Amino acid sequence: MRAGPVLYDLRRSVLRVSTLVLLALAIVAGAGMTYLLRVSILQGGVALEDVNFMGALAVTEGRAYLVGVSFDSYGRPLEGIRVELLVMGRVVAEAVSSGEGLVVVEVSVRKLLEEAAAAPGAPVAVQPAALPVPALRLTRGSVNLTASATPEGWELPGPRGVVSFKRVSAHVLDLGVRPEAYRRSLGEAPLVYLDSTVLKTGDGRVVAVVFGFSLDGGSPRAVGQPLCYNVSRVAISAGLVAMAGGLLLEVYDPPQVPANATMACRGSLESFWGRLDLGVPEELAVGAGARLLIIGVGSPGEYEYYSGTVFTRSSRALRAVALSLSGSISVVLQVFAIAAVYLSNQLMARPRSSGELEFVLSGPVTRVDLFVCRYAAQLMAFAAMTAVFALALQVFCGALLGVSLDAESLAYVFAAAFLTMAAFLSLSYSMASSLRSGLYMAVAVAAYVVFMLFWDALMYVVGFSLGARGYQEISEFASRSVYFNPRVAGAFFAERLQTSVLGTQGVLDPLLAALSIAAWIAVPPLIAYLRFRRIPLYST
Amino acid sequence: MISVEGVSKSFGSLRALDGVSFEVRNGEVVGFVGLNGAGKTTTIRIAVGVLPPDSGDVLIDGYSVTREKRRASERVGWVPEIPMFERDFRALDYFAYVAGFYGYSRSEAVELGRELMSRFGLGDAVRRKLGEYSQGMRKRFALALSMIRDPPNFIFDEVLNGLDPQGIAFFRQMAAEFRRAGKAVLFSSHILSEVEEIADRVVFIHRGRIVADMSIDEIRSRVGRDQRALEEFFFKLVGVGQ
Repeated sequence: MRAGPVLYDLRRSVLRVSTLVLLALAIVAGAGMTYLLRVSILQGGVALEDVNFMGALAVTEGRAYLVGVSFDSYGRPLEGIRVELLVMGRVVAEAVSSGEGLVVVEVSVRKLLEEAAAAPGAPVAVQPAALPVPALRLTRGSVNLTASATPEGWELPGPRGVVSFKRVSAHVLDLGVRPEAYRRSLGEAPLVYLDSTVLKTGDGRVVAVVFGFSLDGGSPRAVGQPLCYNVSRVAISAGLVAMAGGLLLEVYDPPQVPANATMACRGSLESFWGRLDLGVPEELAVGAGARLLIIGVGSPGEYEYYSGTVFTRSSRALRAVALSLSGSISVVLQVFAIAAVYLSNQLMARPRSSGELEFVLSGPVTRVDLFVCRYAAQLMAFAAMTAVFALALQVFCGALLGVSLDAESLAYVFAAAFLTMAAFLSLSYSMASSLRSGLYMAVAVAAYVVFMLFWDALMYVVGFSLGARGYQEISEFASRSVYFNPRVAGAFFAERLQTSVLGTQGVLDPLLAALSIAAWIAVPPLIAYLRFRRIPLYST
Repeated sequence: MISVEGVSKSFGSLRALDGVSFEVRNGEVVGFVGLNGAGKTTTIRIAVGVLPPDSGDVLIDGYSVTREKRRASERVGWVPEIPMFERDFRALDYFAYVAGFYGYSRSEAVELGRELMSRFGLGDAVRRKLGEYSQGMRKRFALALSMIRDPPNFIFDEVLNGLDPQGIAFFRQMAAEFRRAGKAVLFSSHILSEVEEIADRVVFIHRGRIVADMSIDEIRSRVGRDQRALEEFFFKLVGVGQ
């Protein structure tokens, strides 16, 4: 089969006013979904996922330094996060995270004091002893989070739905004789601050992000790169002390093993101390949400630190994104399905009915070439449309929410949309190659209404009439009935997306879903071709 | 050479063709004559590979249209009575689309399309939509498409129907040119006098069966050049009253 005619049919499929309008509608639907999600997030007070920040404020020799690292929920460094220091609501200094996620903001203590004194209601003279701890504002895209300062660090207010941060550790290292591994990693820096956080990623992994910096010579510098460890599957050993009921784990030298703590293994870190095993008390199971873990070594020194982490919980924000994606996929599929019905009519049913395919077939073309060529062109058109939709979703999520969908979520969105459309296209194309144009349109619209619009309602009725009782039972029946609907791929991958993000248990069996998807895509065209290979192609 | 070998075809209970066999040799124009509904167009559709036969086969230069469709179809051109093209295509785009099946790139196809359409009097209409073409233009366009690989065999199906005198003269001239070029030409009509002037031989079909296969000299020796006598000879052959 030649590629040229397929590309022609592809061009004809895509470059139609009607197709372009439907594509624009799909993009607008994606944008609208994203916008509604933004509104619900901002009005509902849900903080954004993926903007985590960990850092410390050091005050020394008349200067204040904020040193930190920004990272996403997978522990990957985030570039381009604007971090601002605010005193009484006014920005006194700012910086943008580098490619490694590192942020260094420097401001003079004098300026901090001046800003504090200039604020309405401030005392006439602000003493250095009353140095204000600046608030933080993190901005990504058009969305920002503000963490207010507390004597112990920064904290996001509870009603915003964000896990609040407490200052949990501030240490100056004075290790005396430094271990060899430490010297290899960090040189002879006299002061090292090490901070870390542990969080659960969208796919259920537990990740520790470790960040260290030194105050060698008075100005902070990052020590090494922010490190991200996957600590999901490493065994625990002794060496940890758990503070019962809290989130704080501290490692001491020599280690003190708690007498009665029940620890759940979460892995280990390869650090300059050698291997550090990480764990949390069972009652604080990491799987329940993001947790904060701080590791400190040594004893407090003379420098004053405010340290902390601002991060969000993988709950409402990601849940909203996941649910919204599932919803937008469903809406877009309804639009694309109209395109499938229409294109199958334009490329197969109409020319076949009017005899317009006959002349093409008189060339060096077999019937199978003609059948596959136009089917392949439409499949490619839908692959392109689905890719544009996924790209639009990514762009709108970035612009409106400041969130990038990870590759896995995008893959689920693409697979859900494309495979569903391939299945529905197989059905409509098969009907188009077997029926005359008028009859085809009537049957295809009926199939659209049944499979795309009223399937769930129908299955509720069928489930009830087959003896299912109670909402749960009928609902499960309706969910499983999707194996008999071309939308099975959409339902399955939307379910996988939700499982990935929310950890929910899906009802669809992967093997059955795969078989169903393959059957929907392959069987109707095979049956249709058996008829197409014999039927007259001229108009009667 | 076109060899029709024992072709049969039924549509439901209607037996449209019943063991039809004949040949068209290279450098020969064969008239294919029969009444409306005799089976001419069905035979031709099978010969160009757009309709599968129930039994029998058609060989184009030895290639079977049922088993070696691509090779056979490259060697035969076809101008149907009413060519149907996808109406929303522009002519040159459609030409490039069809030429793609012959392995031409877009640029090669466009160049060839302009040349052939210009040769057949469509040079001013290359950008027009096919839905705007008249019947005569569509036949010329079908001829241009059939000439993509300049095949050694040609089939004209009732091509003179609906044409003005200029169009009729054009297609008669094309048939004569093809014969001079050594091509095998099958020229169907339901009017014997239409093919009499250009055919070397005439194959008569009636109710799906070949009823006679005679050279034009043999026919003239029986009835002379009188048009009336020619028609009577034809009706007598197929066994119907005038």
